[in-house]
Order: sequence, then C-alpha cells, then structure tokens
Amino acid sequence: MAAGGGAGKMAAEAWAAARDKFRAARALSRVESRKDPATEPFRSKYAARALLEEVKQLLSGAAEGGEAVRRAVLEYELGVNHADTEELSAGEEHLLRCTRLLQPQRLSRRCVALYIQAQVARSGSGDGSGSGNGPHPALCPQNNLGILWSERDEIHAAREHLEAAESAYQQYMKEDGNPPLDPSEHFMDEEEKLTDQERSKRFEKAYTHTLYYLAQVYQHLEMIEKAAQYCHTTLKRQLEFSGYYPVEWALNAATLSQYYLSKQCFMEARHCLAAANVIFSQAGQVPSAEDNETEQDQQDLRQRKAEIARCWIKYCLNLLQSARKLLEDNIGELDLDRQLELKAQRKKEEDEKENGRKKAVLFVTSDICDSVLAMEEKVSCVYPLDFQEAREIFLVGQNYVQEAKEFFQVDGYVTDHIEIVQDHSALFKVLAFFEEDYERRCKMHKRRVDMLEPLCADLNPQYYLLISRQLQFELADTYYEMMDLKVAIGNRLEELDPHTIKKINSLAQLAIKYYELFLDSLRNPDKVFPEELEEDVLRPAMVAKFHIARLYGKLITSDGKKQLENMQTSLEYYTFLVDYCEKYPDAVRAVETELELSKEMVGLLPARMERLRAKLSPFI
Amino acid sequence: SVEGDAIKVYVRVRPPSEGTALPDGDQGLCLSVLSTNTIRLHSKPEPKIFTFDYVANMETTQESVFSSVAKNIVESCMNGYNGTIFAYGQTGSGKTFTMMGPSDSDNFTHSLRGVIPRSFEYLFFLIEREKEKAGSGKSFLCKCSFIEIYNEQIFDLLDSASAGLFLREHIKKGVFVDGAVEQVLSSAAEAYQVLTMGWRNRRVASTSMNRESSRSHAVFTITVESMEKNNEIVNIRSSLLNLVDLAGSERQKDTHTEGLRLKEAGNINRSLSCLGQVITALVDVGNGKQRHICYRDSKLTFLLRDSLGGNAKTCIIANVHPGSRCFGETLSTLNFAQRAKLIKNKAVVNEDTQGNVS
Repeated sequence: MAAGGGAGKMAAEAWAAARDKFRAARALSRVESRKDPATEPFRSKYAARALLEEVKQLLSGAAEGGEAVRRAVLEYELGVNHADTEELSAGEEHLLRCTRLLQPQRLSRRCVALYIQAQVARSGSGDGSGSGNGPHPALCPQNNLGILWSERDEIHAAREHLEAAESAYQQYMKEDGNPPLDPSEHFMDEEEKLTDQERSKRFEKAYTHTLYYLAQVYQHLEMIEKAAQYCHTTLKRQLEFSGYYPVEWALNAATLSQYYLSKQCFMEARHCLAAANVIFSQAGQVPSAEDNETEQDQQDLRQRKAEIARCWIKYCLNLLQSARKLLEDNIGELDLDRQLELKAQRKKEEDEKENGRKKAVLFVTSDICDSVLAMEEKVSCVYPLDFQEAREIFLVGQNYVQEAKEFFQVDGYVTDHIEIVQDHSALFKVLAFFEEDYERRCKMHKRRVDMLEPLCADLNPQYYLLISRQLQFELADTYYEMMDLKVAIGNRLEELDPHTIKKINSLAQLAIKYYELFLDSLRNPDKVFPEELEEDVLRPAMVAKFHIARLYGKLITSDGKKQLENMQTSLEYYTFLVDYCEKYPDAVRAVETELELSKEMVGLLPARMERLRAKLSPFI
Repeated sequence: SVEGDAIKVYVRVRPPSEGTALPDGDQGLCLSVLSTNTIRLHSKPEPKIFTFDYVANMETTQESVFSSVAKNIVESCMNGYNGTIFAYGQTGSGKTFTMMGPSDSDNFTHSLRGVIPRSFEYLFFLIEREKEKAGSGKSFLCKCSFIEIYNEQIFDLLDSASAGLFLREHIKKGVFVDGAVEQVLSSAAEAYQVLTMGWRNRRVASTSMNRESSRSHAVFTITVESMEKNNEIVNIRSSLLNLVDLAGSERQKDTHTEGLRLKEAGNINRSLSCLGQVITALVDVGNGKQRHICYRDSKLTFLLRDSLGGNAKTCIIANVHPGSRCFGETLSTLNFAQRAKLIKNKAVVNEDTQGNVS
C-alpha cells in the first residue's frame, strides 16, 4: 500500500531513483563502511549521507502529505549517519525531526516500528562530547557504559526516549497487534515486502533492545530493582525470540541469580541457575561458526561451565547460611523451639507457594520448560530446617565444588581455586551448625582444616596477601571452634582425662599460631606492628588479639608457674585492646562487646593472679 | 592517619610547544599550578581545584621527576616490595618525554633522559652497592619481560612471532604471562636496549593489525632476585618492577571506536553484550553477601592486580597539556588521577565470630 501509493503519486521514474539511491546508501553505511581504511574511517558513511540528501531532494519534489513516513525514514537514517560520524548534535536534530514527523501516527502499523527505533537511537545520542568522567576502562572494566552517558541530564533524556518507545510498543500491541511494517520497507517495491513473520521478528527484536537499554539506564540511575527486572525480561525475550548466544545467555542468567541471592529470593535464583545449565548445554551441541573449534574455545567453554558451577555453590551456601540465621539462638546454637515453629509454618505455606511461583517472571518457553523443571527438582529452594535437609543442599554444593575445581586447578588458577576451597570450607562450617553430635561436628571442622592448611602453607603472601590473611584467620577460627567443642565434650565427663586435656591444649596452641600469623602479616617490612590499624583490618586484628587472650586463659596446666605465665600473657592481650581503644576512640565501635569483656578481664585478672601467687608460695 | 599503600598520584604539566599556546586566545592555558600539590583548572563557571600527591609545573626537571616519583619505588623494590609505575595521559601530553626522554635521540645518555632509563641506572647502582657491601655472599639475578595488551589479547614484544599468550597464576610466583620470553639483564644499558627493541616491535605489531598503537597497553617488567648465603642457609628474595604505558586517554577522533555510542543503538543485530555488565553491576551492590561474578577482570587489571591495591608501591604519573584546546582531555585525565588515589588494598577478612564470645 505504502509503496504503491507512493509510486502512484510520484513519477515512476523518480520513485525508482529514490528507491535505488536509498538502497545504495544503506549498503554503503551498513556493509561497505566496515571495510573503510583507518585513515578514512567515515568514507562510506559520508558517501551514504550524500545519497540520502539526494533522496530527500527527490521526495521534497513530490511534496505530498502521504510522504511523511518516508521523510521520517530519511531523517532517521541521516540521524544515525551523523551520530556514527560523531556529529552528535546534528544527529539528534535529524532524529528529533523524525519523531516529530511520526508523532501524529506513531501508533499506526506503518510507523510504530520506526518510531521505536528512532527513540532508541535518540536515547543513545545527545551531545556528551565525551568529557569522560568515567574511570579509565582499563582500571574499571565493568564501567564502559559510564562513557556513554557521562552526564546526568543525558541519561534522563535517554530514559524519556526509551520509556516513550516502551509505551508505544505496549499500546500498539494492545490496540492493534498485527506485525507492523519494518522501516526498511518504505523504500521497497510491493513485491519485495517482508513477510508478516519477518516483520514480527524484527519488531520484537527492536523492542527487546529497548528493554535492554532501559536496563542500562535504570542501573545508571541506581534503580537497581527495576534494572534487574528489565535484565530478566530481556533474557526472557531473548529466549522467546531466539536471539542469543547460549554461553553468553547462560552466564548472564547465572550472574542474575547472584543478584537474587543478595535479595534472598532463592526461588528466582534457582530458576536462573537451572535455566543457565539447560541453555549452556545447548552450546556444546551447536557447532561453532567455523566448525573446527580451537583448543582455546574448548577451554573457554570448560571455564564458563565452571563459572556457572561456582554460582550454584554460592546458591547452596547462601541458602544454608540464611537458614542458620533464622534458626540460631543468641549464642549461635540451634534454637529447637524456633525449629518447630518454622516447620509448622512451612507446612502451612507449602500449598500457597505453588501458586505464587507461577506468577513470577520465568523463563519457561515450551521446549526448555521440562528440562528446567527437572534441573530445579535436584535442589530445594526453601530454608532447610534440620540436618537431613541441610545435608542434601550441602551435597549439591559439594558436587559443584568438585565440578568447579576440575577447571580451576591450583596450578594456573591460584586465586579462583582457593576461593572455591574457601566456599567448600564454608559449606562444611554451616553444615556443622545443623549437626547435633559434637564429635561429628568437630570432624567436619577438621575437614576444613585439612583443605585449608596446605594451601595456606604454600601460598606466597607477597603476591596473595589478602587471601593469605583470610586463610590464616579462617584456620585460627576453625581451631578455636574445635577447641570449644572439645571443652564442651570434656565438660560432660566426670573428670578431664589426659587425652582430652592434651587435645584441648594443642588445638588452642594451633589457634594461637594462626592468629599470630595473621597479626604478623600486618607488620611492615621492618617487622614493626602498626601504631594505628587500617580500617579494613581493624576488627579482624582486634578480634585476633581478643581470641588469643581468651585462648591463653583456656590453656590447661597443672604447673602453677606456667599457669601464672599464661594469665600474664592473657592480661597483656586484653590490655592491648583496652589501651588501643583509649588511644583511638573510633575503634570502639568495631569491637564493643570484645572491649567490654576485655575491660572486665583487665580488672579481674590481676586479683586472680595475686591469689594464685599466694597459693604458690604460701610461706612468704 | 595511617599512610597505607594507597596509590600515589603525580601530575606533570608539560610546557606548551612553541607557537601553540598563543593562538588559542588571550590566556591560552586552561590550568595553573598553585602549589606542589594543587592545580587549578579554569573550568566554567567555577574553576576546579585538584589535589594530588605532587604536581610538577612546567619548569620541573627530569631529574626531579625521577627523584620524587621513581626513586622511592626502585628502593622498595630492593627491599622485596613489588613496585609499579603507570604513565597516563593523552597523546602529546608529554608521556613519552617523561618516561623515555626526548624522542629523537639516544635516550640512555641524554641529559634529558626520562624516568625509565634513570630507574634502570638507579636499580643497577643499588645492586652494585649491595654486592660490594655483602661481598661474595650475595648475588643478584635480573630478568625482564615486555608484553603488550591489545584488545584483551597478550603479545610478547620480545618475540614478535608469538601471539595470544595466557595469564596464569602460580602459588609461589603470583600472576605471570605463560610463555613470555624472559631476558637476563646484567646492566642498565642492556635493559634499555631490550626496552627500545621491544618498543619498536610494538609499532610493528600495531601497524600490521591496522590499529593505532595508543589503544594498547605496554608492560615492561623487571624481576629482581637476590640470593644470600648465610652459612648453609640460602635466602632468596624476589620482587617485580613494572613500568606500564597505559593506552592513550584521548578520544579516538579518527577511528571507529568513538562511534560506539550510536553503533550500539543502530546495529540492532548486535549481541546484547552489555547486559552482562549491567547484571554484574547489580550484583556488586549485594551487601556483603556471598556471590560469584562470572565475568573476569580485564587482562591488565588481572596482571597488575597486586599493584592496584595489593602490597605494592604504586605510582601513577598523569601527564597533562596545559593548552586550552586540550581542556576536555585534561579534565578527564585529572578526574582519572583523582579516582586512582582512592584505589586501596581492601583486606576483607572473613570474620563472623561476632556474638561468639561466650
């Protein structure tokens, strides 16, 4: 209808000229320009622009009202052309003219697709002459978009254009819904026109891009929840209209799951991960474009798989840790009343949940639906409430630990490997919370020690200072916990047997050793402990000192003199805390409880030591 | 407060080359140096003041730049610390002059030679001095490598035939480029020779790929290994000195890269690769919760992880051109330098024993 009508009003000759020139311009700008030499990067673009201007002349000769859409197409092409050649304000002018021309009939079948594309293009233009407020991309790799929208004003304008495009789409789909004309069709002869299927495909793709840009805009405006929602919808639409690379999609979905974890939305997180696994498995089946995959590609693929496994590990870990938070009493033990209460509550909610789930935005297109559901069934998304349930989640996590470690071996991937082992240790730690038997719980902690200790010994702190400190601290804490458990076990006995005493003492000594290693890592090259602690190590350092003080207090000995010495050492460490906080009152906030107890001990210990001294030499 | 290992930032203002300052307008200059650590940018409507660790004005000598920036870093390298010196700035801001020296002469003996040749001299001077002091008990081994990162790929500048090297980690030796050529150095002159040879390769590489060299980063690394024998005990210490030439900060006016803005929007068939970045940014806000991000650091940040907030001495030399025509680039360089100061080692120790003090 459009071309036919145009051809009717314009002389057939003029129409043919306009059509051919327009076509040539598009070829220049979309195909030829890629081959332009570096010295003349915009050669084809400039040539295309000249042609577009000629077409515009031809059209203005026609001067008919019905040509408005075609004029808008030209303005759009010119706008994009100017922006591509870095004449942004000229580009914006053309695009503005384009949307003005379309405004009255923007929701018509002929215009809506072009209108949306023009708005998307405008959202990316505007004159941000690259004042480059963003950090250098080399140092901040994730922030390339900061360069695109360096000014606040621009991003607000971008948002307006994109939201206009979004609502045009929605309104059109509601009121009309037929596949609209593609902008390129306005310069096609009747017989070349696209099929409805192709039209629909292009239209939906343009809309997906609108949502994709909106996700970016909302993220930059720090509307995090909204941004996440748009990311999710973009992923979903990519699946529906099959415009995606499986590996990339899977990684995006897996990463999105991590966002849901931070919001404690375990059902959504699990769904993203299950879909990531399913889509990822497509990647192996589809041979790559060149067919002969290099070893590098294979390795990349294995790495991505391991990355997704690591997202699963975090899922299991977070689910267990959140459950522990719900279930623990004020001394960090399992609260049995709370456990019963939550179990009852869960029974009641179970049915309702099934219904709620269907309302959420899910990636369920018919062909992957079953696979995703099957994947989801392998692990729960509700809080585990007892050891048995916790263990099931733990085992899933542990399987993913093995899978991730297959790729991230210590030789070549030190940091990644250790991070995975740290997660494994954390899985054991949280599982131990659910274990009621102290002996078995102790064994779980021993497993943690066994996996962390050799790494800690081998690691060169010159290059891995941070991880090195983390390992030292974690080992110290683990030994500390094991000692506490042994004391608790010992307390149930009538009398402490020599074996238990030996065990307690040796665990305490090991805890002290690792706390001291950690504290030593804070010393400068001349081995001097810092006068004032850096903010980021303040709390761990103070906790280390405090725990050492307590550990010396727990050492068991029948030798009075030795006991006196231990008390003396203990007192010194408590005093450190008290003196430090006096000197730097800002530190108090970080260690309130510890400080209070330290003050108490500094008050009590000298008297106790005095008594002990008197007992040791009663005749003086 | 505590000084810490925050990155030191040094800004150097080059003199405008003859004939360029005046035609720009009455003032011609877009900034003035107020003191040895502040600079004022004549922005409108309000001028903007920047504070850095040092600001070198146009009269500052090469010698003084070296002593205030690099001397310290070379010394700590001898003490077993890793050290890194970054050079940053737009083309024409004096980056090469500061780092290498006058471009058309034998920089190694020239009185205006730059930070790099001076660092070499000083390093080997310190090594000789140590050797004399310790006698036969102490020996040194210096090796160097020179790589280029372009388009997230690593090239070995000491072996122009190689391509696509990989970054790996070793539990004792940290991050390294797998397969990079290591050349043994015995003197400062030799080091300089290797550097200039590699520099030539860099140009070759950039033209053969039909890409401008200013989009690549070059990293020259010297490994200093000392071995000390005390009776039967052998004490080995090693440290790295990285000299990094960052890709130019200027807009790429004459290339495709700046077209990014609308290409993204125009080319509707492109993969939605930025979505990953958005999602990553969403997750980063995740209030200290356990999470894993699937997207890795850039090659440069991975290689220099230790220098960007680890236990290393790191310094950035930001070069700026004072001409008012360069206002935009200068502002962006200064903004970048300001941000760099905030990078610091964050030693987050997993510590959740709170409430467990019974």
